[in-house]
Amino acid sequence: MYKQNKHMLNNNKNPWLRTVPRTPAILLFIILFSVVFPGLFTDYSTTLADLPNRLLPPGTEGHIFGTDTLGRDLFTRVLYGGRVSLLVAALVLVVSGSIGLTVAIVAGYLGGKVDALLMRIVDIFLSFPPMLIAIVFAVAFEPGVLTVVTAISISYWSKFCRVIRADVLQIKEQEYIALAKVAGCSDLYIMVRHILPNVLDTFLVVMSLEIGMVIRLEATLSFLGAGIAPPTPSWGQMVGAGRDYLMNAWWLSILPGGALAALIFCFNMIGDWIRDMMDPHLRAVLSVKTEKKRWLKGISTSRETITPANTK
Amino acid sequence: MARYLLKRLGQAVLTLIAISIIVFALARISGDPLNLIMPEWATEEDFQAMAEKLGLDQPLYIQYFKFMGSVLQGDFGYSAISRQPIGPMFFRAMLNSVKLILVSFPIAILLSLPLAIIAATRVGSASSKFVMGIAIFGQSAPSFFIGLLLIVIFSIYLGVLPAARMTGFSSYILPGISLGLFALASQTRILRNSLLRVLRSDYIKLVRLKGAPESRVNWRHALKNGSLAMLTSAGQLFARLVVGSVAVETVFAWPGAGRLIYDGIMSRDYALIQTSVLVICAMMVVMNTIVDIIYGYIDPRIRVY
Amino acid sequence: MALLEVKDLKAYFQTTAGVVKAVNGVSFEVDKGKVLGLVGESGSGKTTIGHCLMNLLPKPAGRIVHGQILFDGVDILQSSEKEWQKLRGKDIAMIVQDPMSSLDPLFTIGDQVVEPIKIHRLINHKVSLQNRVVELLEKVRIPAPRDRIKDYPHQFSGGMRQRVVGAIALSCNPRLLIADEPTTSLDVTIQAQYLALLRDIQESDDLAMLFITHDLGVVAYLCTDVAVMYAGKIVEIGNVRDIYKNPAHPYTQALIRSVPHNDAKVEKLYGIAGAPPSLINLPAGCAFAPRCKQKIAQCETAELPPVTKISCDHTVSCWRHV
Repeated sequence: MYKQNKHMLNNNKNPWLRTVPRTPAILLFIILFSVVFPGLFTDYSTTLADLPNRLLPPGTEGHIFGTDTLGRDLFTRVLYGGRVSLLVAALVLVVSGSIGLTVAIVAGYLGGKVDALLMRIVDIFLSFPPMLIAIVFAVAFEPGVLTVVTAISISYWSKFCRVIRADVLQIKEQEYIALAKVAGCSDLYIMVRHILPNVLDTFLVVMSLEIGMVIRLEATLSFLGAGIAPPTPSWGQMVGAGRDYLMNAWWLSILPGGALAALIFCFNMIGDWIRDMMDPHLRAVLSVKTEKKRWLKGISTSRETITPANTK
Repeated sequence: MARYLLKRLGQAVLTLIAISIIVFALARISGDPLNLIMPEWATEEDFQAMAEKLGLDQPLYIQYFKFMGSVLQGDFGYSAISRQPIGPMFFRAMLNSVKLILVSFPIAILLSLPLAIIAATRVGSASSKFVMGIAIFGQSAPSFFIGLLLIVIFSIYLGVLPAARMTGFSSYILPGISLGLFALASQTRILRNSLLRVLRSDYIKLVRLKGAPESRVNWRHALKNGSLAMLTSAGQLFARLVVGSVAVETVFAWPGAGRLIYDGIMSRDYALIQTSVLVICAMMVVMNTIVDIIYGYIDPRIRVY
Repeated sequence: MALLEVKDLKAYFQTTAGVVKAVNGVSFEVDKGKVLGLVGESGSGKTTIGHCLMNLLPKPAGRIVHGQILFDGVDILQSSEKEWQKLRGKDIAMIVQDPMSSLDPLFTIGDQVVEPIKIHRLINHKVSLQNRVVELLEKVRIPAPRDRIKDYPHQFSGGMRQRVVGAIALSCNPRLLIADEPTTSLDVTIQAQYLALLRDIQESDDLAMLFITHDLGVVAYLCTDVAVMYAGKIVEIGNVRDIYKNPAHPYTQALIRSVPHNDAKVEKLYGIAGAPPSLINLPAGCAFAPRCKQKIAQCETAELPPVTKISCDHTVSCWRHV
């Protein structure tokens, strides 16, 4: 295949992996794992009421996060609620990503008037504030997963489109594209078999950078009542519902909110790290510093470093 | 410069038209628009009358032009719930929102300058990591969460600052921080990345070769070049702030446009939402255009086009 | 005592592939009124030496690990950053390579030329500053200088920009001028003009100059002495006339032979077979040995050839001359 390795992000190069920000990575893993397999961590139900035990503060026996107004264990609800947030985020990324990817490849590759026209459209969509459009959607239609995903995707596809198109423009100039054309491949074939695989890595980077923002957006919408509706628990919605009890039962809002902040934070940190790694200069700076730290700690480094010995 | 200005203005107008079409169209797509506009207790006859009055029996494009016509004349229709004319209500609220934004936005931008310089000039050091950590946290944590957290800490437990409504100077503090934190964080990150690129450039090298102290290199040359990127994002940031005010004003019961929108959501008052979104988008487009014009002023190379 | 004396300078770069020994034990002198040409292929370390003399190696990778730089008898490698800032632009100035990217696009030419003067607080009065700028622009032969002070870099051509860079370097009357391949990015015709300008300025101001280049023709035109660099070391150094007439080191001989002559009728251009060694895994002995056509037994050993004197101002580092 003609797939070329544009970026050196393969795992064979150990030093770069060592610069992963450790705390966010571990935290992210913990959060994702517990949200995807909540059954391993809790036996409570998210819906069964337990009125005698309502509004217990965090730390009480058997309820690490306390209980809500109906006596339901908050920890359990947080775990299950996370699934919805992640699901919506994943759907948005898939939908808007696909649209953005397609438009970007078509516009970037075909160029000329097609490109100009499509980019005009992208510019217009890019200037839509996602949240406002989503609010309009939510009030026009019924709030729910479908509405939210559609609403957010309408604005987000243009973000993907811009970045990927820039990449496509670069790839277009490569020699193997010219070779393929000369060999008689159709435009469609080239776009799918040659350009698509090579933009995927940029695509992944953009996704990892945007996923945090998408989660945040959905959470805000649900908080305002324009996103996911009850009874489906979602973190933003739980924070909104807990507002009335802020004085006496702060944990109802603060804990799901904290989970949100933590998850988004981890995604953003990792996304930033990925972006830094794609930049050769920063990659070098970071790995040199890491190597130096290891040398100072006495851990043997894989390569030679400047020591008093070899400067004589 | 003139050609550049015209081009920008043309784009702005196109965008506004597109947004108005979408907002207008959504009401039609979701079913009988009257369902959205009419209050619950309306009868069949009321529907008939309203349909005629609004000209809903006419072709779509005529409806659209009528709608836009009245909007441009300042007539925004009536709120279905409160039966008040939306126009004055909205603009009064907008004024309050602007007051809040005027506090948080400039502070956020000004604070981002030294923070970004620290983060860019000491890459990999503890202080740089700390600044970036705060910056990423500020962008991650949803504003409503920050707001609620601040309320719990400062209003409920410490009892120091007011938690709701626009009362006096001290009532600006918590909402201002909640709203501005995101702006501060994203500006710092963008500026830092831009500075990193600028600081590696040949002309910065030449400034150092002149014997300039690092402070001059950073504040006079790097910042000016780096701020170009920040300027573009500042325009978008204003949009984000306006939009973010919806959540923050809701949390703090601030009588602004954001809170108005929230009320509109709760009561499913489509006319109100429609107006709010249109006006806010128009403001954003204006803001972006102004930013582009300033950009042209700072960067002499742009003026050639 | 020469104005500039460099003794056994070593500058290394820590990279992800290992330690790059860019400058590996370099010694030379530049005196007032003399022009030392520093010749070598790309990657021989010559630009790095220029950076060392200004203590502006790219951080955090680059470091000066050994050696002395004596400016006016004082080892400036021991100076603090503040002291370095006092030297840069004032006593030691540099003309950089690429004029298209070296000027700040957002400031006027006038601002940028006057900047070193402002930094070092040499003149305070506004009008005198402006006059000084016009004077400098005239010196580098920019036409209609008074009108062009308010212009921006993008309004100047490459050759003009390079003259501005020259004006910036000369603004505080430096004692040592380092020129790092100043004409490499210019058209050939502009090159000639620029070099003539440099020569005139150097003669009239009696400047000490370090001229870094890969072009032997330029060296012949401008320099009084020349140092030939290979793989981070100086292999031959001496008076320009001596070296061109009697090149001692095989590398120097090959370099001179590879310059095409107008009058000679040649079928093939002469090139040096092989490639420069990796600066990370340097061979232990003479670095040129693998490519040298005049090897003797001694050259294969893992010992560095000592520096031998051929005449009073011509030394070479080669086993054949020991």
